[in-house]
Amino acid sequence: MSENLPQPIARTLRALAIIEDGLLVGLLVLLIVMAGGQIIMRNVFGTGFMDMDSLSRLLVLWLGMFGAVVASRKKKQIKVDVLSPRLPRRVRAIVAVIMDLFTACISMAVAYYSFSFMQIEFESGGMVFASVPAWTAALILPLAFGLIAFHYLLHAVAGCYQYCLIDNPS
Amino acid sequence: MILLGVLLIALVLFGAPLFAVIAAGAMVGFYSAEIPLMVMATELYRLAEMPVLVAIPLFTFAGYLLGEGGAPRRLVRLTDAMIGWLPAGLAIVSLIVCALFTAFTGASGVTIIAIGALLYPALRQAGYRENFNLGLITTSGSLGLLFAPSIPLILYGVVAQQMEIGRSVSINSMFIAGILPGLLMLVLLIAWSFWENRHRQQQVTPFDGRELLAALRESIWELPLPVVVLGGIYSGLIAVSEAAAVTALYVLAVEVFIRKEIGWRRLPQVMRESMILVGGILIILGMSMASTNYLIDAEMPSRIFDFIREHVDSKLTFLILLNIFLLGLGAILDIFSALVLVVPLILPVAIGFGIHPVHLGIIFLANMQIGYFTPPVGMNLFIASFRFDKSVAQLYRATLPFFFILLFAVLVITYWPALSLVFL
Repeated sequence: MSENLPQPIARTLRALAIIEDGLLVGLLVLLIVMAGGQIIMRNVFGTGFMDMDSLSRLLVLWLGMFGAVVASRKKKQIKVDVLSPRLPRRVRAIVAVIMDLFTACISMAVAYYSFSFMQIEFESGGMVFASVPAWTAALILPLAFGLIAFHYLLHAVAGCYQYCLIDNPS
Repeated sequence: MILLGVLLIALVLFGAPLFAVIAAGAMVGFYSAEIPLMVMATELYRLAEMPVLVAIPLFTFAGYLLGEGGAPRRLVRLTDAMIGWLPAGLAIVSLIVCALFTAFTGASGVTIIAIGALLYPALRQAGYRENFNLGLITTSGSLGLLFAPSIPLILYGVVAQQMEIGRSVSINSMFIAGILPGLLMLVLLIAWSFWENRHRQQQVTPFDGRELLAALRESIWELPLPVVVLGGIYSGLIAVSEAAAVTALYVLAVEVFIRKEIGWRRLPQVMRESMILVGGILIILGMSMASTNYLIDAEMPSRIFDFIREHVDSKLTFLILLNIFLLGLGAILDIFSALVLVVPLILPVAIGFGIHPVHLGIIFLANMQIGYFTPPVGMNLFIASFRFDKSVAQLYRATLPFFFILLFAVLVITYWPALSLVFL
């Protein structure tokens, strides 16, 4: 569908994909470096930083959430899907759109409640560690679920478009 | 309540992502219990409070990286040089290589693609029966699930640690408990390979010391990995998350810097692919922690326990029912989702029947391992069907003898707890 999109939209989506992928890869590299650094610290210098421990655990949350965003973009979220391949083509296309919309709505709701969670963290002014405020760590939840909702919304739109192509292949 | 359950199951069967369905269920539950829905965020945030979770992205990445480069080919060559001269040698090579590789790649279907593609033509060339080959490769794709450092073993430990069950389930104890049950499966399948091929004329390759030496030299960089990681983990010298970090760094150094088999362009792609799987697992884990929280709040585990207690009075009957239930579950749900969704519900019940939590974990995973190739929707059936261009129906037939052998192993594992618990 992307080739039929107006240029600016297609370009924006491509840029978003590059940013998402870049962040995902960057977070993994950071995690590998941190985890390796921790081992060296512990064994060579005999000390570990508590902060590094909580930082790498936060990284896992961020990494997992960004992984989920990219999985959503590529429609690779874990699912079962045993019935829809047996449906007639037209019905299958409609069911797929409904499932995408359902996923988008649920993700939106989670994004909304995560945002309130982040606001409360912001107002309470707590710190995760050192001088990193807790709300910045919690930022990933509304951000990731917002993006997941966005991608499923796009899948739904693409699905509608494909449904129209069934009748009108040209 | 029942209507909601039916609706959620329908959503799953029609292909809605599992995380969304679990989230929907949890939110409806919390809403009806008048608990503020912000609890969803606090539950998800708990993903950042589990130190062992660090191991999952690191091991997954290392496994993907190993699968991409030439490591599978070298592993096959080395094992072939070591034991390929035995009767049914290549079949045994396949079983051992697949088990080792699956343990390191976390049973994500990578084994069939990376190793099966090498072994399938070789087996055929060596004169093994077509359906035996297909069955062997498809079954082996999930063999090794019970050996460290497989992701499902870690994930069971993570989920069990979240529950207040009075007994600790350390990841290390899961790793140790998996050794004998895993070996039992391996030995039974090796025995079957001997038996199946006892009358078959095969080209027997004699033992070749020079080839072994050459294969050893070629694999020199990969050889320390299983020794350091497995030795470190099983001896308890290094923590699981440290072992994961060492593995990731080491594999990265070898594949990218030393062997240069993965180029700088390919590396980010491999990283992304592996993290897509991790993201898919962690989002389901996070959501199911929320739904579990609700179910425990609604006293669901104790209600299930009371219900079962009413109808089942012996541990034996419970275990039989558990086996049937888990086999069915494994056939429809992937191992990661099944773990995070179902373990919180059955763990308290199993403990009520006097089953050790570590033993339950091994029973659970052993059943799920069969689920990988149980019709109708075992994941590996489809991967193999796609990879080898065979009909799924042929794969059903090809895997059937292997299914019964592993089913026998599962029964032994279930009713003989000492096999899992002897070293603990």
